[in-house]
Amino acid sequence: MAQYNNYEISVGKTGNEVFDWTTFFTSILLVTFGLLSIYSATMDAGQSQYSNNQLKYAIVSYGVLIGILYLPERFIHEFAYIAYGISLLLLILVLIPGIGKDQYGTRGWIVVGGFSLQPSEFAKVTTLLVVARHLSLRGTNITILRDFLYVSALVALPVLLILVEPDTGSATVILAMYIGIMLWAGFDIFTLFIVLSIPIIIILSIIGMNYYIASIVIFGIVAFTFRKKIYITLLAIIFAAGIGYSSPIIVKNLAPHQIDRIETFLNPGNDPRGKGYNVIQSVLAVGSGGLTGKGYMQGLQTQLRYIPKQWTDFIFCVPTEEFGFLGGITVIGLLGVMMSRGLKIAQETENKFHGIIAIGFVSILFYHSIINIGMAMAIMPVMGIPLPFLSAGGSALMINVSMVGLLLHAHRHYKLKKRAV
Amino acid sequence: MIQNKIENKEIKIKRYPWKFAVIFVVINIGFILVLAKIFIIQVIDVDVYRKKAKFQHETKVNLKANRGDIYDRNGKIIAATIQSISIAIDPTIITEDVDRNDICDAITLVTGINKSILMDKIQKSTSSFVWLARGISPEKSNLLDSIKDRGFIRIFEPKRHYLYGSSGMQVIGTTDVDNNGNNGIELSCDSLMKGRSGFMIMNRDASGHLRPSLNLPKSTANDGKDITLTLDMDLQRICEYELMQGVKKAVAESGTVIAMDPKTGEILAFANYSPIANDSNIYQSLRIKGISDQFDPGSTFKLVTAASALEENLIKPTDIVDGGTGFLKVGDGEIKDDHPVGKVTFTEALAKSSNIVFGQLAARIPENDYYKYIRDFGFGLPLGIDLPGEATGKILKPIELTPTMRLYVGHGYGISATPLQILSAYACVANDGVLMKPFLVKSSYDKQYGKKNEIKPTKIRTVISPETCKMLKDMLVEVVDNGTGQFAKINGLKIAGKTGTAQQLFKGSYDTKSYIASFAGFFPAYNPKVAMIVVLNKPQGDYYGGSTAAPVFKNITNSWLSTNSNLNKKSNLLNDSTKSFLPDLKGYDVQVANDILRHLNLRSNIDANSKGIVLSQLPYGNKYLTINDQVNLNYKYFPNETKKKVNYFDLKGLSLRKAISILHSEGFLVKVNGSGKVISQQWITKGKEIYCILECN
Repeated sequence: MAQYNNYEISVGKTGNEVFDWTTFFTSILLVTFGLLSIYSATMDAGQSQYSNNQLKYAIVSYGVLIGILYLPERFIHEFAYIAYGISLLLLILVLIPGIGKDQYGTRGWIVVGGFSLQPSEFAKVTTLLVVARHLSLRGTNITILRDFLYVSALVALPVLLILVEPDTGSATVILAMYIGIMLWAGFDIFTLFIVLSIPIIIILSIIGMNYYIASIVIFGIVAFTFRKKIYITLLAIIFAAGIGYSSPIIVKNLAPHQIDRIETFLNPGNDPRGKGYNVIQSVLAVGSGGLTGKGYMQGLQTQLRYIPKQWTDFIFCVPTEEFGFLGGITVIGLLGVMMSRGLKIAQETENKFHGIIAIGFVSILFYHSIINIGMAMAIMPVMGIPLPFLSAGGSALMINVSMVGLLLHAHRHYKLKKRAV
Repeated sequence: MIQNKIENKEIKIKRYPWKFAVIFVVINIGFILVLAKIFIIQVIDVDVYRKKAKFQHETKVNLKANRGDIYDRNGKIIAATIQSISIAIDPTIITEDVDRNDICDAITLVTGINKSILMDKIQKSTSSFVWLARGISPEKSNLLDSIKDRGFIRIFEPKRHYLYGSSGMQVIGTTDVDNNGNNGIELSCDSLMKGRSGFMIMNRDASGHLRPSLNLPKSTANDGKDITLTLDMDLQRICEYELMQGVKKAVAESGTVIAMDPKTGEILAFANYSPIANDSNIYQSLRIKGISDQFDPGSTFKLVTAASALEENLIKPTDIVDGGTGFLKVGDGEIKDDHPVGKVTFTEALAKSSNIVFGQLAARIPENDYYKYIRDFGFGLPLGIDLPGEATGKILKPIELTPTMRLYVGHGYGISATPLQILSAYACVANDGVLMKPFLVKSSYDKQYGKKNEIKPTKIRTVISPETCKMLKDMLVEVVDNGTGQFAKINGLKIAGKTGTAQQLFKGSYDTKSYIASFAGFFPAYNPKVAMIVVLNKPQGDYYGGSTAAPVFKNITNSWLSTNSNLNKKSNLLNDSTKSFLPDLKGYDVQVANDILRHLNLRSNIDANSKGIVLSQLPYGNKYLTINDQVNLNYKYFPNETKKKVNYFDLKGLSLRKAISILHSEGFLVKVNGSGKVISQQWITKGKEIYCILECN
């Protein structure tokens, strides 16, 4: 404990060095970009309350970020289960009619006095905290079945609750985060490979028989490169082939709106005024932006409101239409910087808890970005996943900025510790 | 402990770079794929998407030019544009048969269009816009107000309205549903009156609202010019009425009256009547017979023969000529006088209309001279009146004008002419030998620039000397006073004229059953104000021009004199100064209707603040009222109608700065309340200037 005191003394003097300015400013830039985009998308539509609200949330979020930054190291560790419990409670509350509010077919919001809260967003970070906490305990290991089951259960609880809403998008985010953590925590890479391949094989097999066969062949070839025992490899291939074969049959028994989403994803042009409308319009917005864009507040596709609810899931078309390819590359670059900072901290820090949190954050960020941007580009399904830092949405912004706070927190304690050593 | 730490570190160094690499590679592959896709869309295929986006965002709005109005020579409005309502339906919105049925029922009720035709139109269409009825008058459309369906489209369309109904319809013409000239003056002056439509490229947002933009091209519409005709609508109506009476009395197939100011060539009235053409097919029988019918003129052509011979000094009015026994054998044929004249003066021969005298006189005129006079009087060539469809008539070349042929041509056979050509020849004599080009359009007026373009009378040529004309006038007066034209005689007014009764060619030979009876002349004979021709086609029973066409001439002259004080002939007939003709004003803007009424010395219930379109009126239109009578107009204000005009400048939601710059570029004045974004706008007209009041939050 004497060591801790020493850290605190040094903070006052060298705060500058222990503060990760790069990450901080990257997040500020992303949020600013988001505010400008939301303003541009909503100003003319007479809905500038979205950008006003977003600004208020941003200010509150950075307050939270500062709070997290200066929390004692152990506090977050100890606090994890309480936060997890609260978020599970919220997830259950949101399902109760009268408390939860429906929006776009999902019962995902709790509205209290004009303040709306999205429990699934909070579940992302709280799940990350408990998983990180458990895996960083002395003697736990993801490769041990008991620990694996325990951690999986921690993940499964919120995922199942979120699926009930139903908010498939957010549920997959937590799963994506878990996969990143598993990889980092030393889970068997071959198993992970199989788990990751399954959704790809499912999608390809739904598209058509030829894609199905090709995907199984590639899966098989890659599977052999892991040099596992031959019967395990073969078993994996048969398993993948079986899943792929049965998935088109299962799809036929899905709910109509889910089938619609898949159909629209596979063929957005089929129904231009229906589900695929957003995608067609967003591609048109991006495409007509060109290299340098049409200028701020000059993107006609945005200004003439061709993309419904553009300020949430389709925010990416605003910077790309109005600032062109340069705008797009800037946003992706900033997200890239943010991820590389996360990866760097995960690699550097000796605190396993912090490392897993950083990796979880990077996984969430990556998954969100790829799906959201891909969605706007018609190469990913429309899943209702917002673009981190940019999309309008108070809860999501707060969670993302809080996670930046956790990164800064991890970086600060890494630096302090290093200095102390 | 320290040992353990070092071991841990070693493990970390061994494990992390590998996992790091996996994650790093996955992230990079993901981002590179996404960036590649963005690059393809934004940089490589940019033109494709730009084109698509432009197609989606921009829309061309036609700015329709208003069609010019038509006035008569006294400034009375003849044709104007009113707002009519057209109905269309969007079958992609109204999909239920029940709804469609209801709408069709309502339209059938209003327009009388067969319901099954309407339903068929809707059923067969695949587009999202189907016309159901066009040009419904606004008073009827009241019945459609109850229909509120979203796919029920009501469009205000300009429609031509003729204030004198079918009066003068033939020459004035009509327009089609798209307000383009179909025939008559509407056709010949279409380009003048149509104006030039403009367009405006506007942005269209996702909900289909049009938004103005400063950067997009725009071309303003130029309204069409107003046209003033030479027609006198009072004389026109008199002509039409008297012609109708004459045609009925003579049991003729049709009749034509043309009146002209001989000094200028201005057409004062141009009437046509056919009992066969009733109201339902009046629009189909719009061929202007007065300029398109050509027939052997018969005796009215004797004027030309007489003029040629007198001008060439071959004869004098007092010379004695011999009509013989009224029978002249010419080869296989014969020339007859129904009433043999014997030895008479040349003047008497014309008064008695001796075919033989004029045939023999023509034979004495050298063929080249005779040809020249026929040609100079305007026969054989179009006169160039500003109406579509003028016929040339047929005359003989000098080489064809053999002495035998001249025997026939001399009294009006073997050649053909239009009523207008015959009239022009008489007008030429009335005008001391100067042939004027007949015309209908007196002036045009450009409202936008306030520029008036007067069309000057055109002299075609001088045909004969004033002295010859004097002799001819004396002779023509004699025709009316003591000759075949006595039925045209009016006490106290010298009328010069000539009858004509011409057998018509029917299957190659002259038919003894089909005649054209005519009377051409002018009055007052020695100071002619009006030259006029009356033609009755195929009168049954009494077919003589003197007894059928001449009375029509007389009646018209009588009625008209009573309305024209400048001719110094008082009459007990209708006195114009106490009566005013009330037209049908349905569909007019109330203020325009009020102007018309004021012009007619009638009072109305309209004040300066009234807005809207006239739905009905009391008393009803098309009748004479005593001046200062009250006319009550029932009108209704259609907010849509005015909205349509300023529709292009829907500025709601725009920033104040943008809104003002758009308005200024359109030449409007702006008043602003508040600041920020425009939440509502209001248009106010003060004098010539239009203000737009912008309410901002």
